[in-house]
Amino acid sequence: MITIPLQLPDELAQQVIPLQERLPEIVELGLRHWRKHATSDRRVKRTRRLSGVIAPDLRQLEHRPSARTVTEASANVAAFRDEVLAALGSQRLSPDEPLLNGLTLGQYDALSDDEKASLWDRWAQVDLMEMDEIEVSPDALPVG
Amino acid sequence: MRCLLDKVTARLAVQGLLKLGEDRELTRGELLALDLFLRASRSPHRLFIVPPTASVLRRCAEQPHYSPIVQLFLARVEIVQPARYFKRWARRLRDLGFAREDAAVLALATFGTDSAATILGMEIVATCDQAMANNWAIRQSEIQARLSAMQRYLSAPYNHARLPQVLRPEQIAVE
Repeated sequence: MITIPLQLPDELAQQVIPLQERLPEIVELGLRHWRKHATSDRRVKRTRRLSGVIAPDLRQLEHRPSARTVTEASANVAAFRDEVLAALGSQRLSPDEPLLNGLTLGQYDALSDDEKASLWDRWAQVDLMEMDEIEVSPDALPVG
Repeated sequence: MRCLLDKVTARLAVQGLLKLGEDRELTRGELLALDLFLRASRSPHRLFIVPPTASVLRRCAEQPHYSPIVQLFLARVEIVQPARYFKRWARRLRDLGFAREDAAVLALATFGTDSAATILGMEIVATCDQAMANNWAIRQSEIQARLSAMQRYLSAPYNHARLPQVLRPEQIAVE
């Protein structure tokens, strides 16, 4: 059995709390329903209509942003390429230039991810647990 | 929103920028980390990095060839500073099974501040470490109970510090 913490809008939480004993069953039914109907616009519209009858607040979930796709990320990053080249004065970076401690960019690129992580730890020369703590102002803004 | 990029996420975003400068293909991790960095830096949200990351980047910026790229990154992020009780909370997180480095980053997201010491904590920690994110989610009640117990003896604003969400870069919505 796995515990999954949930953050719900207040109104939805108030509807869920009296049913919490049956939550696994409700999630299972909802998941089955969602899988069945989430593949076409027509079906999504039907889901919206049904969710309006069953629990209006479930409609809010449709507006929650889903995970970013690689395609979306690629388009966003590609649009930034010109800005990077402009910052470099239109001169591309060369893999032969030294990056840090005599290592060239080409040599760095050829390392495995674990090797890169180890290098950054070595290069950092800062131990968070050794840093001084700062007293924040009494009206410092907490989260939320 | 205040979002802390953990060491790996920040490193992947910078590697992505360097590869754009080389005109090379990015890995999936670099792509998603750089995408988050770009989305957040175009929004009113605040992006933070940890001091060890900033230390490496400042040294890279001393190299004239890489300086424009590194400065481009540094200009869009802030460096989180450990606030009072950071170490105590990091030790509690270690007791709860988090690795030393993970505990330190997670503790900074609760007891961390900006250079002017006007904020306390972050809404989100961006991480590519799925195991850490899972551990954080699965043990949330236990972690919250531990924080609440510690905060009973703290004064404001430290008693209002909150736990962050720990999410992968692609899971973070930036409106």
